Amino acid sequence: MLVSLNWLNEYCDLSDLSPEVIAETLTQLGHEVEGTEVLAPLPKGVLVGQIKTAAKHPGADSLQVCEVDVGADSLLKIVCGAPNARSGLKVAVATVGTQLAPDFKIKASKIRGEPSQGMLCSEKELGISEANEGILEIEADWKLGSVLADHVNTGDVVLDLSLTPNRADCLSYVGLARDLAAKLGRKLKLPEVKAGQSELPTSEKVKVKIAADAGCARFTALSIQGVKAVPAPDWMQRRLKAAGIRPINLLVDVTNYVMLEMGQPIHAYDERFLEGGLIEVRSATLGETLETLDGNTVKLEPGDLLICDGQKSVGLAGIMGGANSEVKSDSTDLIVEVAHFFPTQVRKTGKRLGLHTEASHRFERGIHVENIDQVSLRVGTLLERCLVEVGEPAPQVSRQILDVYPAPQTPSKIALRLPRVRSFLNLNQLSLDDCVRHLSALQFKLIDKTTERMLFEIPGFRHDIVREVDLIEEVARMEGFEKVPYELPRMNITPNFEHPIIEFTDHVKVVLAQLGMTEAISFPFHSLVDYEKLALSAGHPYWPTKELLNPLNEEMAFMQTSLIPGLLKASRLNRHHGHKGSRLFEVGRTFYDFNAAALDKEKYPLFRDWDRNELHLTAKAHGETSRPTERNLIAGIFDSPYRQQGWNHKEEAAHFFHGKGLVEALCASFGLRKLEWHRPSEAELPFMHPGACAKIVSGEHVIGYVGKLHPTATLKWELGGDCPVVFELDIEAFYLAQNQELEVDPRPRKFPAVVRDFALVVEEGLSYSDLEAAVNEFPKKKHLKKMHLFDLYQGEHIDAGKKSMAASFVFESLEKTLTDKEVEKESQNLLQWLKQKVGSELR
Amino acid sequence: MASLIDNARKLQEEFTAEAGKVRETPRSSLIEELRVSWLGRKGALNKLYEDLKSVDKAERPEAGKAINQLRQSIEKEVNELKELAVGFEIKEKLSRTPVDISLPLKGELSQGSLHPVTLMRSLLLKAFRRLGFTVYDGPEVDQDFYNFSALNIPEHHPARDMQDTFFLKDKNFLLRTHTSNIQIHAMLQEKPPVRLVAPGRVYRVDNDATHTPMFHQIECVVVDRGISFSHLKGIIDSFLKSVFGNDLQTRFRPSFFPFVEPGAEVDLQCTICRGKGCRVCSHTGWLEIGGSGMIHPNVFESVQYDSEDYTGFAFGFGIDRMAMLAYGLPDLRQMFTGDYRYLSQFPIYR
Repeated sequence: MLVSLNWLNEYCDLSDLSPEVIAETLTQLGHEVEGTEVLAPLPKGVLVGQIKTAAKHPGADSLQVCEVDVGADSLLKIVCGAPNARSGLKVAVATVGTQLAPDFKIKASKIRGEPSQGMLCSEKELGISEANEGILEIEADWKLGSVLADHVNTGDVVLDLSLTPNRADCLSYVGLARDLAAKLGRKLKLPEVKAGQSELPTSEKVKVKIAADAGCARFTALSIQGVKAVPAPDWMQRRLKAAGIRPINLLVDVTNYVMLEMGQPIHAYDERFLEGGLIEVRSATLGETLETLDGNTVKLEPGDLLICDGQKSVGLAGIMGGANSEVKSDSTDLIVEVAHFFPTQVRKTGKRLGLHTEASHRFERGIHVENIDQVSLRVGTLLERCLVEVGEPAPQVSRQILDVYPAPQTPSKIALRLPRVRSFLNLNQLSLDDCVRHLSALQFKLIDKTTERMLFEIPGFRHDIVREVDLIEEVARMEGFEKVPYELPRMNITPNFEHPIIEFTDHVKVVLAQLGMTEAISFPFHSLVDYEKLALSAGHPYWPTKELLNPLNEEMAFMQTSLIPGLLKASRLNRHHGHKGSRLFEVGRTFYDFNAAALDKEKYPLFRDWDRNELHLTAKAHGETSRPTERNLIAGIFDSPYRQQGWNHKEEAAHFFHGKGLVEALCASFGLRKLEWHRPSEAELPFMHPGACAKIVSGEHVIGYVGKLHPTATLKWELGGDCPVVFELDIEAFYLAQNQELEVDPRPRKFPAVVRDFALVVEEGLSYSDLEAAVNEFPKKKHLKKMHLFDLYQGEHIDAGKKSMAASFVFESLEKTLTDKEVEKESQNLLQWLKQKVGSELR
Repeated sequence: MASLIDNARKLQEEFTAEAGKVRETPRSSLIEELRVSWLGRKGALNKLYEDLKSVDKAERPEAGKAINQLRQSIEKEVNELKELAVGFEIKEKLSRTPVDISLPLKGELSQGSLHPVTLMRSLLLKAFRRLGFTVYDGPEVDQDFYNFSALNIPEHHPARDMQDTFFLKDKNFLLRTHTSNIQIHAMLQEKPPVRLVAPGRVYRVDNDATHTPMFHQIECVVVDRGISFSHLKGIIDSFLKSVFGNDLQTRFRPSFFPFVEPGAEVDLQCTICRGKGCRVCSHTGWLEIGGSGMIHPNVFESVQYDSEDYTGFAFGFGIDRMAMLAYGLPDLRQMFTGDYRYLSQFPIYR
């Protein structure tokens, strides 16, 4: 809300305070000042004038000699250099003697030999804006010779306030003045109201009917006859403009002015267009339409509040008037409506129709029902004053306000306990009198008190005050939050119920970063197309199903089920930036709906545990079975190349083993060394390279997968060239897998190990894990500790269909130094066993 | 006989001269040559021993002694030279061209980096854990009850306009607009006292230069008997000081958040100019950091806490904003693009 300090002074005199102090006070009251506009004062000597003639200066090409009418008997001769000076133009004339700036007084002079009796001013010269392109062009219908300062708002400061939705009362000058007056200990001055003088009762003109379901607690109508839609007085126009409202004519302006002044929306009808002598407030029926003031036709639904006359609907209650009854330039007789409408209903209708007006903004937040008749009187009073001021005859304001108020509200009463205020705010010096003083200043009425307890009647404009704690806040606001001391609470030590997976996740991030990965965070919104590019389709656990009702755009309509699309987008972006080979990881939340369609665990064993909500998410505690499943995943990507060429090495493409190595190192960091690598089915991971991808398994836990992206997916994601390597792990499974007893062999090793190398020729289909399993099962194992594969070879000297696997076998005893003979014997046994088990021959 | 002894003496002189030369550059190869020519099978010493056979028996012991002395002296010198050679040869090796220590080793053993939001999050959690807080997590997709109505934000209340909400097509669910939903989840699950923080992602329908549809908040909740507004100020002041420095002051201004009463906006002295006034703080010296307040009794009642017996406070601050201030990052949106060159500048510990 824009607040002119000049206007505000009318209700609470703050003229002795600087704008900074006022702004600071408002901020300390909870009305944040977001901006301040200072309008410099305009000297009285600047008049409205009109250029009658403009002729070229005989002595200078760029100058003109103008004859200017400032309403005086004779025209002023003024030399002007502005390119837009032309005959007929209305201008701002700084007359001789005007002190335009501290060091600039306008004098009668001669410019290049031509006399000049003043100056035509630009906006910059007037100090009202930075515009200095030419002189100010006045379009308004202001009287020639009138003082310009009377028309425009100058010498004022306008504050831009950000008001919180609870303080409906502060959507008005009176409301803000009330808060300021209370805080600063000043007097609040309410606007002048007086009853109308016309004997003609409003009820002769119109009847008012409120339907039972109409959501209207009070409705007043006031008949004002003999008005004229003249321009409002300058001061009123100026203030409206300062508040950001465009003046239209007096009849409209007065309703806006009083709304800003008192916070109550007002609507004026032209009596001619109200048919049947009736105003009715009722709920709309299905299919009804109304053409609103802004020329649009809105479709109504039951529940929308309509104002109707005897024949038709004339307004959307609390939101906008109808076009058919609005005040026109020839209106003479008005019916002024000041009413209450239920906040919820106004808000519902406004939201649905996308209509948000100054009126609906106030109704939604709640208006002061008891004050409605005062507002009505104020409209009559002000209209009369203004018409007289601009030289029009006084209107006939009805002595009687037609006031339909079926169930007058009784003010609520709230008790305030002194000990509670003191302990709540830790202000132990606060006295009962302090509380009473503060709250009385805010117009809370003390109706009872004991030594420790006060009972207040809550003024009707404070809808936000409903409990004791609200009164405590008022006391705190008046005292000032800065008075509350800083103190740390003293608390009992209580067991920490933090789930270890939270800290575990943070450790995972640190380990990944230390392993060379850079953390990214991306938006979790993707499109189905993003998942189609990964060869996924409906039924797959990764197929997104949680769709947003109101996404930012089509590309961001679905909640992610995997972090891979986000990482692929990031890699693609980095490629576009000319950066290849980024190594990124992300830890993020993914969303699934396993309620609607059960997880097919047979077909997708990789995901078999994903349909239970994660351990540490609290939602499950309340038996809400229909919640979407949320899981935290870790994913990473090695864009190719893994390493750029350097002065000491060649370029290295990203390959499966970079990913596998990273996962192994990550797991080993948490003591998890026993991992199995299973080949996924194509159905499980259709976007992964079928030949270079593995599921990561540890005992009963399927941790995730790692491998190369499928060449087709790589192409579709525009990551051409070598396929990137990606991995994705389920944090819960990883946590559970590593959360095992640590396996450490604590026995001392004092004797040297003996190493024997053998090259074994085997079938080419034999996997390392087959060989490893056979070694592990070696029945005559006594001293064999481990096997280290150091070469794989196929080609010359090896039969087709075979390969050579060369490995070092380490023999070690905890009790003694092994003899050659012992090692030789066990080696021979081993070779024999392997021959029998996997058909290997010594090369 | 005399001639043999003379000969030995002469040879001693010869050897001393030769060894002296080797001593100048005691390389193993030269020493070996020296050893072979003197002590080798065909060396000078063996020749002397040959000659000894033709010396008179009576004179032989004396002559033998002279030869033995010569041998010992040669052996001693050779051994000494060998020792010298070790040091000499290392020194010689080191004097060869050193490596160009300025050569870059890009991507050889490179560490990665953590996201600035993660860095700030860790800093905050560290500060809160030190104060005895429990870290909490909770759902990002939630129901109206947890995100709004239990937090004293009824439907059709203008306060809902303060946060533009993403809804799922299944309208029973929405994306949480703040981490305050954790208040409800936690309090429904735990009996007081409660002392928790909950960092997490939140979502609002917003996308412009200073807003992203997803951002991060940290929620803090304390509930116990006798908790006052003073404690709220104390805890906030304490953790902001531990993150941004002890010299910065905090300021509390009345504001409105439906789930707290009184509600306060928290300002921190500008982290850039330390309160003097600069462009970042619009020359006010203060930065708006987040919202806070005493938990509204309506909230306590929605989780069946006794609002007479217990009081508490809660606040929610933007992690991203704090990260931007702490690390001098002007652009919120850049943090969420996955731009490697930007992200890889950040450290792992901070």
